[in-house]
Amino acid sequence: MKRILLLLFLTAGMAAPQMQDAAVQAKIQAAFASDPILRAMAEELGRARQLRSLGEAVYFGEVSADDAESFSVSATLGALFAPQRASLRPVRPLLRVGAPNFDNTGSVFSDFFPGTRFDSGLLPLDNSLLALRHALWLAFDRAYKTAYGALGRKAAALRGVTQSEVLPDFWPATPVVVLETPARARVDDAAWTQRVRQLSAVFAAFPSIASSGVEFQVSQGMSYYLNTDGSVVRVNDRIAYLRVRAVTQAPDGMVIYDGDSLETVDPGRMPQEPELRQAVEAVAKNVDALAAAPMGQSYSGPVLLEGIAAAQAFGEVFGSNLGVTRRPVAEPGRQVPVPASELEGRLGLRVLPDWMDLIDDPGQREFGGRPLLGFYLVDLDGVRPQRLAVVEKGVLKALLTTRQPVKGMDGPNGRSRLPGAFGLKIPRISNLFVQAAMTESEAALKKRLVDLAVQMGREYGIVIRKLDFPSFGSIEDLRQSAAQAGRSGGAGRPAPTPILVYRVYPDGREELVRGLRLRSFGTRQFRDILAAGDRLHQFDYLDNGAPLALTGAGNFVVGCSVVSPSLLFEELDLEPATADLPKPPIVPPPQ
Amino acid sequence: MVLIAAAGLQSGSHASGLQQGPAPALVSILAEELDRNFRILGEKAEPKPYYICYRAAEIEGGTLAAALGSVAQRDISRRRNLDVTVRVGTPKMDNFHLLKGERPRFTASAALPVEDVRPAIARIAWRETDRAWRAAAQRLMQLESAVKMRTESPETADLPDFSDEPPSVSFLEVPPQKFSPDEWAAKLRKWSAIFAEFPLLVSSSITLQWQREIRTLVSSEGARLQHGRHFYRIMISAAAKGYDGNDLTLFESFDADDAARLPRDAAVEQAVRKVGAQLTALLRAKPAEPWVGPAILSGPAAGVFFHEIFGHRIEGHRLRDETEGQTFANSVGKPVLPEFLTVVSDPTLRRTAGVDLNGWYAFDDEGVPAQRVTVVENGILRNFLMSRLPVPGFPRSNGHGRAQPGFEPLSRQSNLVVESAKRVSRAELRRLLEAEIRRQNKPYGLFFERVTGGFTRTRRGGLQAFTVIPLLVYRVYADGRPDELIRGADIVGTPLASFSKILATGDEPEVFNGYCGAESGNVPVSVVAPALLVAEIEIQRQPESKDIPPILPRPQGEVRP
Repeated sequence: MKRILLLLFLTAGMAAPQMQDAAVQAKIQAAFASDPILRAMAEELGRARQLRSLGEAVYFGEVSADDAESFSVSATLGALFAPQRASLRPVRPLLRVGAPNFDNTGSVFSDFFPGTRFDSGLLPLDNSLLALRHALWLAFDRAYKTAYGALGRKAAALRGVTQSEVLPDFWPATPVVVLETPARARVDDAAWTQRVRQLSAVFAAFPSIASSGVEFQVSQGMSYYLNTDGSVVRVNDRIAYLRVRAVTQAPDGMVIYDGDSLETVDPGRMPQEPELRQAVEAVAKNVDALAAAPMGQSYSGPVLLEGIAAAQAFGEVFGSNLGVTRRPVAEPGRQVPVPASELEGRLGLRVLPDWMDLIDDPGQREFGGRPLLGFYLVDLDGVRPQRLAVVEKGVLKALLTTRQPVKGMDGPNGRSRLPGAFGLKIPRISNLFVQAAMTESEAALKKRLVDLAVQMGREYGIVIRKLDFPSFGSIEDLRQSAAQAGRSGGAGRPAPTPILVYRVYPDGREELVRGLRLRSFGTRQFRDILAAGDRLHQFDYLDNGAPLALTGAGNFVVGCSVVSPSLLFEELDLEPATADLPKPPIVPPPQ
Repeated sequence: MVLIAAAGLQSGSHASGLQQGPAPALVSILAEELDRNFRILGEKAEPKPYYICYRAAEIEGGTLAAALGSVAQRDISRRRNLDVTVRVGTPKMDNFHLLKGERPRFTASAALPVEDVRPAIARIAWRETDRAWRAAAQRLMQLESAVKMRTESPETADLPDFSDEPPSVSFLEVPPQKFSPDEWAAKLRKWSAIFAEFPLLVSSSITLQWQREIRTLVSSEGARLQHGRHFYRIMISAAAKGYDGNDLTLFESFDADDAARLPRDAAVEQAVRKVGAQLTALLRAKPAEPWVGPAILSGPAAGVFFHEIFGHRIEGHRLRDETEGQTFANSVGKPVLPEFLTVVSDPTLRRTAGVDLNGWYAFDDEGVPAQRVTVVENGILRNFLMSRLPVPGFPRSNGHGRAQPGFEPLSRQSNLVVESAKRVSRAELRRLLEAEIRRQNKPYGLFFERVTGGFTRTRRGGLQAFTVIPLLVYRVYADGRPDELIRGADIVGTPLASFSKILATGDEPEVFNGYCGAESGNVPVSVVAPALLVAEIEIQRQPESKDIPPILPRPQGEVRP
């Protein structure tokens, strides 16, 4: 039986796996025999590899799937919304036609299928081999027709155009075999339901907060990936988090919000109740304090990003900018607005002070006794990631790459972390370590901030202790941020909203202010970091690919961690939010 | 306005009497918060509201789907939503005033916890009331200036925007029913595996949806209501692709308001095989050609016909909207259908001849009790379906103000019952068709056995046309040749013309249960109608598609449910 399966795997048109190791082969065969999802994916991928009947042959194919079970529950003011349990198996096939130099990916036509769609984007929930294969058969059929159509339209769109830069569409990569066995942590749904209800009741002590909620979600399962190079991947994919969010209006009507998220990749080891309660109370206190705080005023001068704010800043700015996604090919004159990376074309140039390094290391599981969120074994392209020195002595040495070739880099470095559009993957950081060769104590940093501010003629310096990243705002808030950034010359890319902003006076007094926005905050500002603190702060978050990683905006999330010292920026611009203020309700809140 | 279809059989049973008891917790919580907001806004707001209503819909249920012996979907949920209606101005003119085809929408459907915790629910209601009041005040201001700059037609110029109705107080229990998703999953696996016997189909599925719905309504007029019902639906569907790119699909569904009345295994298995066989036959069937001539519509097909071409035109709100075609605006008291037809809209009717109806309810979504309405009597138009929006000649609601949670109520259909005084047996109807074929000198007539959805354009500016999508159509020959299945036909035509051409009806009313999607969202409806013989129906060929069937042969293997 096992021998027949191996034959199937090979003769169905897939390239023979590079591994000559008999033990690895045996492992693969055993996995196929015992895992219908894996087997169905391999069999249908093998058949799809042979497609050529429309006139274009498949030169590469891949398929990924998730088999996840999730539980979620939320509550507000001590009242539960109904807990939800869901089982979902999303599947993502991709076929490439043409050749690695020019294929169907990377164009606005790459995802477009004009015909009748019979596949649902999901695999059946039972493990019947035939039903699984049937769903995959339909998915690959559409993938092939889509690829064929896209190749033709992409070629036609380029006919009358000379491309400024001709890069191939696909890099080679070494196939990888990783077969984990399911490791499901026991999660007590009933206990979490109780906990969420109780934590949401914390807000009962803050009656001026208009709206609040606490949510818990856990998702456990396996992620599958196979490709025609011979990669076979099945790894555990688990996440659990507790999220809290609160919104209110200041007396002048300004909307104030804050949130927090505590997450773990080992659902059995969520933080304990006291830590959760502390996080919920902190959000409540922040919102209350901000609603009562005075409006901030325009400020241009030194800013200290203290504690996690520095890590958040690196995560938001460098997390996405370190990866370059090429603009998709479109019809001439019909460019698709795809956010460009600020670091594109900057390899070999200085992006940080020359005493700073930036390391991205997905191989580390913990730092200082605390788990890191960015650990993973293999990326969405089936490539094993290595530790990467992204910035050395301030100079940009490497970009995060997928298998889509980018200028200045020579191969994939295993950073395909999010599924993207146009048949591409989106690169993201894993565990980013910000290293400073020169540091000062936190107290010294603060003093330096104020001294510098005074030197520049200011009455105070500004310290930011928390940014809204991932953002807990609404889509409307995001739109307003982007609009304000656009007006201030921030290229329409929304800057993260500072949440906890303090004026620090020479006498040491601090004053919380609200309503300030960063005017254009991008990689440029990081070149002028003056100093770093001597303590490292870790910030974990879930990235979903949305702008500002807007909470709840995407179904596919990856864990990232940033470890950074506090940072003193030479000059940042802050200005009050310019949107009109909605009037507060006429009726006071219910008691 | 699209309908999703089903099939069934006859005879009736009505909603039982009202019961009283203490107010349920949710009613008290919402009522207290509503009264507080109404009082304070009345004192401090400008413009102040003259009416506030809170509507909460709790839906507990799920969807199970299986294909080829395997569960494909399993979603079980329970959620509650709150819709707040605030009316400012006066009943003579308020913020809901219809202006040039606009459909004002103030509610945003906020999620409510499922636990009856006063502070949590009151707070959400408070926020939503503020939001709704703000939107209402803004629209009223816009209306006040817009109305000054326009002329209104004399019929509607003096009509109020909101009718006067006495508030109701009633608490009807909706006891939970015994229902085991796992038991049904096993059945669905078994039934869906049967489709493996039909290898030419591309995809197939069996879906079970179940819902327990509890609607709560409180208003500043003193309405205090809680009522609801259950819905169960088994849906069988399959799809195939013709060699010419035509999409071929067939559906069959069974509806009930009690799981115990869903069909037995044997009936479902038979239906699955029938769908599989008919769809396979459709793949080999001749494509339709453009044609005009006499036809029989089966009971369920006739039901869809009536819902689309007739039902939407008796929805009262269309007579207040000047962009609507308003086909029947001047027809009250005049013949609109053949004199042997009577059409009744009856949301108090729960069952007819052993089939539960989708369109029954105790109170509409404005809190008005459901009422049986005679729309057409012996061919003469008597009434429209009314919400609390008056139309010329009809100042009061008749309990047809309906909305899907998240939408503002508008007059909608419920259970449409078509009664005929010119009933003949099935055989005789067939004979009449053959006679008509010969009389019109046509090569054949048509028999529409099954249809689905359809859409109607009732607005001015667009073509006054309707398309009901036929799924199973046969050519009927008058010379003894057997009926011939054709595919890819679309019914077209203009509504007024089709009405006058109904020649006779069958004697067995059949039920069509479905969901109607229109301006106030999806609402469950039904039509009870006999088969119809129509002198003239026009069909056209469905457009071809260049899309080819799947390239690789389907995977082979054993289906083990």
